[in-house]
Amino acid sequence: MDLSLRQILALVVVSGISVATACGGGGGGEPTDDGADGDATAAAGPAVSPDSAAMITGTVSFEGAAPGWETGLSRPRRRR
Amino acid sequence: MTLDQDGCRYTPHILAIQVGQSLEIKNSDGILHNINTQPAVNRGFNISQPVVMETSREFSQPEVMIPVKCDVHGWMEAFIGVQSHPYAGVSGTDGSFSLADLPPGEYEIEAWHELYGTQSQTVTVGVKETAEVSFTFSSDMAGNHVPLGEPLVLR
Repeated sequence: MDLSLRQILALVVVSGISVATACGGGGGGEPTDDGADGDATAAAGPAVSPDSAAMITGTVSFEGAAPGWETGLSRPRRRR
Repeated sequence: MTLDQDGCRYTPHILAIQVGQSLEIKNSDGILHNINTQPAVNRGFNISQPVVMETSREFSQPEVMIPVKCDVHGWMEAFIGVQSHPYAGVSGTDGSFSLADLPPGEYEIEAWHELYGTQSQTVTVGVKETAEVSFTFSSDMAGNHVPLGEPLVLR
């Protein structure tokens, strides 16, 4: 991964679930999610029937550089 | 789930993992690295890997985010997001993400970035539907409240 790319990565997570069914059913399997590079699909057992499974997709974008964006993230250059 | 040390960098830089899921920590470099996790909730660890080797660890509590540093190489940094469920992931290099196999319902979705902080949105998805959510971080958001974890210190 290019050093410049690591700065644009964001974690996207379901933090609140307002329906009881969202937590029910399935489970019990071994988590095998790779959790990186845009693939948020995890395999912790079928939490929902394939007939009703929903999906959320989207994008994360940035406008302007945050403080520290330009510095501190690159590997220091060796002094000669 | 593997956190590799390759070329004196952590790969991936950000990773999502579930409570109890095995995290394989790999040293592909063959030189001394230490993996110093600094969680606020979970039990931290600071292990040394002087040669090409692999070590397994797991986390017992949900926590976003757990910083990881190498004290030997100060630029090495990674963040681990530990969830109690599988509905999390890291955006791709094009910013895209997807959360699949969700039960229909109303969800609060949060996006976390190491410098910009966190923002959230509420979205409702029906049976076999796909909902779209977009997050835009702007520079004036940096340093905002980070509801998923401890506020980050900007570098």
